[in-house]
Amino acid sequence: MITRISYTRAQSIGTCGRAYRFRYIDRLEPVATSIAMPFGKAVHGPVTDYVIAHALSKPFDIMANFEAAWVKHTSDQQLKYPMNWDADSSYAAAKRLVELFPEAWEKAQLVAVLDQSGAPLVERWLVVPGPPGVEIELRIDFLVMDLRSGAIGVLDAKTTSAEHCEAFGSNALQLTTYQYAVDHAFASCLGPVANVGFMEFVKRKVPKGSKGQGPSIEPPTWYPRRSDEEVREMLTAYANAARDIRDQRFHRPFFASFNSPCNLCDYARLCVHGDQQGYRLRTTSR
Amino acid sequence: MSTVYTEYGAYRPLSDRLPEFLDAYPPSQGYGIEIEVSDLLSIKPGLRSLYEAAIKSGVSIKSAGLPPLPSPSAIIVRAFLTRNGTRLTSAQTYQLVEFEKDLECAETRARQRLVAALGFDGSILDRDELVALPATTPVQHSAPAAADPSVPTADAVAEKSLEHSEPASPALPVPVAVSASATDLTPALRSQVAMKIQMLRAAGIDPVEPTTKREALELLRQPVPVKEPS
Repeated sequence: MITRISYTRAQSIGTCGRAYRFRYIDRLEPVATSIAMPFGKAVHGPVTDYVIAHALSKPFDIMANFEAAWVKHTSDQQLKYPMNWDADSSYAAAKRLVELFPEAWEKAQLVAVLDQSGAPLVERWLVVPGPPGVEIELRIDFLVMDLRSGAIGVLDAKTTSAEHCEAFGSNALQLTTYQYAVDHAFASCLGPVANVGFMEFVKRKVPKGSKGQGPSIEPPTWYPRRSDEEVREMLTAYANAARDIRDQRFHRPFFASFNSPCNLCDYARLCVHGDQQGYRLRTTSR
Repeated sequence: MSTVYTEYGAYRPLSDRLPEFLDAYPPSQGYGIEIEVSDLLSIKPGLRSLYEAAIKSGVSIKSAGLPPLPSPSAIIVRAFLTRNGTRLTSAQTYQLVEFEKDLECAETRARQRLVAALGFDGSILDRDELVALPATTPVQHSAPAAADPSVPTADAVAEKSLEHSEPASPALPVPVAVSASATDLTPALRSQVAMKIQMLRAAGIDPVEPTTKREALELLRQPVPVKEPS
């Protein structure tokens, strides 16, 4: 029997087995969605389409694309906003990030790598063999070439409220997974990936006056190619996650008060109080 | 002697020059090369003092009229010729450490500049001065117009590719047949160049097929004219 597991699922069960069970086994989802997800999608969509058009030298109206994406992802659902944020400020911040992107991409001196059929390797869905009995599925944001060095790297775009720290980037299994999968799928024609990294879209409110930083797109942060040992360790992590899923080990995690994932968890009320109000059965597959 | 032909001309790698260097400056007589890595402010002590003063007095760097702090990725690597622990002479190089091997590349570059400055091939210090004079330079390929510190050297896996970033020595013999540069086209570059050529041809442009990495990157940067909808 083969267990197919995505990075998101592996991360979910690694964070908390109960949250994994609520989401993927019981198929429950909160009725009110955090704005973070639609915000990310409304920014990510136009950005990825822009990168595709850029790689193919095609004209592209990123702002028109954004307006359509914002409507698509924020309509017809109940949204939750973080403190001090609302629909207008979220829209303004997302719009600003998308406006900033073409210049940020130009400055980054990157171009999406084309596959053998001439299609940009953007938002590419891959399924690759993992450790014995496991398949890993993932979607890479961008496989890019640096136009100054010719090196290729896997770049993950993140909308975030705080920039990541170097230790996270160096250890992130997500990037290791991407490197492994891209090597598996494309090394025969492109050679191995040289670098892995993040490009962060930092969510800040658009300042009302001339002061204040506002939303920003940080230049890509690159990390050297992961070592073979790091890749082996990543595969072990997937093997363990798959085993937990197969054996239905959906337990609470070890954590301390200061780093509890519970305060950010969509399922906290259900988990702690057994209160099913505010949740519904998910109908779409995930 | 093995000469590497780069997009900047002929170049004799450091590893080739080291035996002669070690004969002249043998470790058995107390000679050695010491490497020192420091941040960018170490070569700007005045600016560093101003930053320190601003921070100590609680004034922001911007409001003090100072330039933004240099990138934390920027390093200076110095190579010192030492004898019995005493530093005799030095060479240095600048590098942004952003990609794999950037630090190692900078280390080799600092070393090779020191070795060259001591007379073991590569009058690179003179060539640095010649960069702005392409018409008179004896090298066939133009050197970079100016050193761009932001240029990463991600795929500089080996010393040779690192060394390509140094202008070539005009003292080296002129290569008889310059065809070795095709080897610096990685599989990724070759595949992307093939795609770009297809796109350019579809737009009615017939590009020259690149034979060096530099030419390949130039081709990839070339815009493809957008066809007007008919």
